[in-house]
Amino acid sequence: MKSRSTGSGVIISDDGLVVTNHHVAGKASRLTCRLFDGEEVMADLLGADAMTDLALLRLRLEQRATNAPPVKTAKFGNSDKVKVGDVCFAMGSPAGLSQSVTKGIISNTALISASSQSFRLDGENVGELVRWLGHDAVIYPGNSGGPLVDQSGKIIGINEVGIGSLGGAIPSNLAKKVAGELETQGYVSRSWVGLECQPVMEENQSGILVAGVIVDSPADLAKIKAGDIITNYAGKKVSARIPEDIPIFNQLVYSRPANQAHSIQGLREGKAKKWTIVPAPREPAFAKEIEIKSWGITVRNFTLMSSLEAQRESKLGVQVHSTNRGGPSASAKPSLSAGDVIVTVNDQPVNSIDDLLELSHKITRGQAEPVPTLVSFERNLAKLLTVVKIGPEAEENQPLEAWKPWLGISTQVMTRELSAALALPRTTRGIRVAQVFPETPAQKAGIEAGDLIFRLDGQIIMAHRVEDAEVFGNMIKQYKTDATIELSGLRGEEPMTWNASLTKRPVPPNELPKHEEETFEFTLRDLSFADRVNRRLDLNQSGLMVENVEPAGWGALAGLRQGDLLLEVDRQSIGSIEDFKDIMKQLVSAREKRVLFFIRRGIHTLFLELEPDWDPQG
Amino acid sequence: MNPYIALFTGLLFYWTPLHGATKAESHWRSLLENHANCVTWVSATVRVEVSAGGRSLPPQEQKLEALGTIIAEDGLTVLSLTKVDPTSSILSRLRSPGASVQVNYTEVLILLQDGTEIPARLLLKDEDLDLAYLLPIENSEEDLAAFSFTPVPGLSKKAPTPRVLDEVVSIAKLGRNLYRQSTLRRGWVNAVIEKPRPYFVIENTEPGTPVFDNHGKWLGVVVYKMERGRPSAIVTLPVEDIVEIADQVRSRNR
Repeated sequence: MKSRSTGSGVIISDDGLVVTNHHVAGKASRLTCRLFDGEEVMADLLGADAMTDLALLRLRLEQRATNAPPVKTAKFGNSDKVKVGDVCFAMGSPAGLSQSVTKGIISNTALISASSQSFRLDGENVGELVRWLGHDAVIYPGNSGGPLVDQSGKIIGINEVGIGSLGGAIPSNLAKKVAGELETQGYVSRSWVGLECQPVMEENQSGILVAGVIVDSPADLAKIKAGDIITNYAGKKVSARIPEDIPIFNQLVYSRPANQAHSIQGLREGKAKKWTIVPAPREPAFAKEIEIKSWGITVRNFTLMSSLEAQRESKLGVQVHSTNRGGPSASAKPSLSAGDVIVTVNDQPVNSIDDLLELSHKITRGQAEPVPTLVSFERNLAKLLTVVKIGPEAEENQPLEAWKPWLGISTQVMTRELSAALALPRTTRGIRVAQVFPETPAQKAGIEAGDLIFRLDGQIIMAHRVEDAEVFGNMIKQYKTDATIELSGLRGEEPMTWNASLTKRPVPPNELPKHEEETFEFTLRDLSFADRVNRRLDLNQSGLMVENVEPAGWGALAGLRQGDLLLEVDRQSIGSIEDFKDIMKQLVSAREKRVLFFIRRGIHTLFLELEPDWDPQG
Repeated sequence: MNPYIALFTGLLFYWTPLHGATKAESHWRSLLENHANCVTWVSATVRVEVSAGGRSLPPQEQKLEALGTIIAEDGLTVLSLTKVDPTSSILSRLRSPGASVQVNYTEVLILLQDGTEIPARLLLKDEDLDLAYLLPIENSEEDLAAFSFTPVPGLSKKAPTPRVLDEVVSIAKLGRNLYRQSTLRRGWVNAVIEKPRPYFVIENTEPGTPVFDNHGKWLGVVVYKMERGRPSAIVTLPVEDIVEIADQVRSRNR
């Protein structure tokens, strides 16, 4: 599912590196940065780190105008020197509004979450490594990723969380280190030993208490056990008296090079003990999820951590992350659901997403209809079989609406009160014409707004209560769609008779010609009768109605909205769906950098610039 | 036993209302035995696109199940539109005057009693009368010739009109949790609305199911009475209306 989000960031180099939060941009497929002077520059994601909630982007400076001034940059300060009470400034774009600067003081230099499980990102516990700089400079959602600066304008933190009126920023020293690794390799290298630690329980004890050791982990192989006390790790004295001390220890553990042995010293039952440990490379808690549309699922490969959490013996198989309700996997019997592990497809092993994609392509290549496919999957300890009909998306349809006879007026009931006010007997039964739609049987018959109608083909229109609002409409619906009717009533004080030839109700919007624009991701249709009446458009008004705009698509990013009336594309008038298709075909093949739409929105008209990011591979 | 006493007892039994009820019940049991499968479960998978305030929300898929009445031997089935079209419920939650809801049907299946699923297509709807019509897809992977649909008995353009307090029954099917077992529901006619159009108000009925009188004659199909686009009450729509609109299904989808 695509969505659009906004946040803040800080440019840290002349070549356009931008630091922001992972939760702002870490999963972005399209990035646009709005600079302090309003200039918009597209950017690419270089890497993201869920454990510290940081991401690094690079602005596409080469796409700026040749005479554009250099970008303004900020420098990192030293967050280790920040003290409680120091003045600080939070900068960013709260709630996606224009930029703001707010002032506060540092209120805590080692702020942690009371619950270690409270802030998870992609399965990672952000509080495992980060101790935030707490401050009271006002921040709102949207400030995330923006800099916290000291009085000299140096970056001392990257704003990440807000807890009531208190803000939390990732210390700049950690941000600088992570940004450096993301720039050079796109990810952060960490090692893993499988130790789970907590502060010591006894007041006079120094060291860190081993709470647990993951089976078969490096710590397990080194024969460290729950209850051991670690006092020295890789030559550094370590201690944790309170939870705030744990992230410091974790930073030390994760920063050691993988596959290189080092020593650990400590105590077991009061006696000195030494261990030698060989850390393993640390993999993310979860692999990135991938959508497979032909299955209607998103899936993940196993990482070491996720396979351990799932208590699996290996990383083989593909784990279902989510299913599309109504999609092929959700419709299978039994259906696939989140957490299931796909192990074979048509008896072929599925060890990873690559295997699943390759098998799916083989099965569905050249097929016009979904193909029933035998899938073996594991749910907890059960090994199940199901059949998923994978392949092309099912053809959709919308039912036609039943034809109904139509006169083309809107009416109100002649209530007793209204009749009395119009000097008519209180026993009057009938309706008053509130509106006559143009070019309709009613208009052709000469009916006007304000006319009173009492009889239809000699039958009294039995309407005198508000509840009778449907009576006249239902009397009309009894007729054939091409019937001729006689209405009688009053215009002012003059008795009137009208003869009207009914027609079919106008074609509803869902039966009008429609086009789904795949490049710019929106749907258009012809103007309906109701569109023309409700928007008071001339009956000859040309243009197409925007029926749907894909969230975060190019149309949406340019500001196109559902309900807009598209009048022109690149200065060419749009008269029909076919016109639009022809113009778009030319524009797509020419790969224009900008496409200009001219639209009507209510009483306003405006130009929209659509700037697609054409796929370089074509 | 004295033959006179036996004759008197027999005559007494014949004239009591109990005998009438027994006769109606035998009609109804016969309906259930021979025509229970004129009611079928239908599954509809829909992709719903909602736009409000100028913004379009990400499309959502839903799977809906509804009871329908088979009204022809080719499997033409009529349903309560509200049961397979979430538009009115979404609009009532949104309360945004300019909101629009697009419902696209990605899969429609007729769920037969034996577990067979027949792919079908929703072809026509009537939002005023809360009706939806579907037909099996002829070139689907299921061989339609192998199935014989059981249409509702007594199809006629001139069906009887019940009177207030008449006892009637509707055939229905229980849900998946109760093995989709066929049921008869007994009800009474609470009201007969004549204007602005005929409706019967009958208690203890389920939208999409047919209602029969005490002779086993088909009276109509249960739908929602719509008011300003929203369901407001459960009523039974007479056979004439069902049949008249059904004619359009064939003429417009030929």
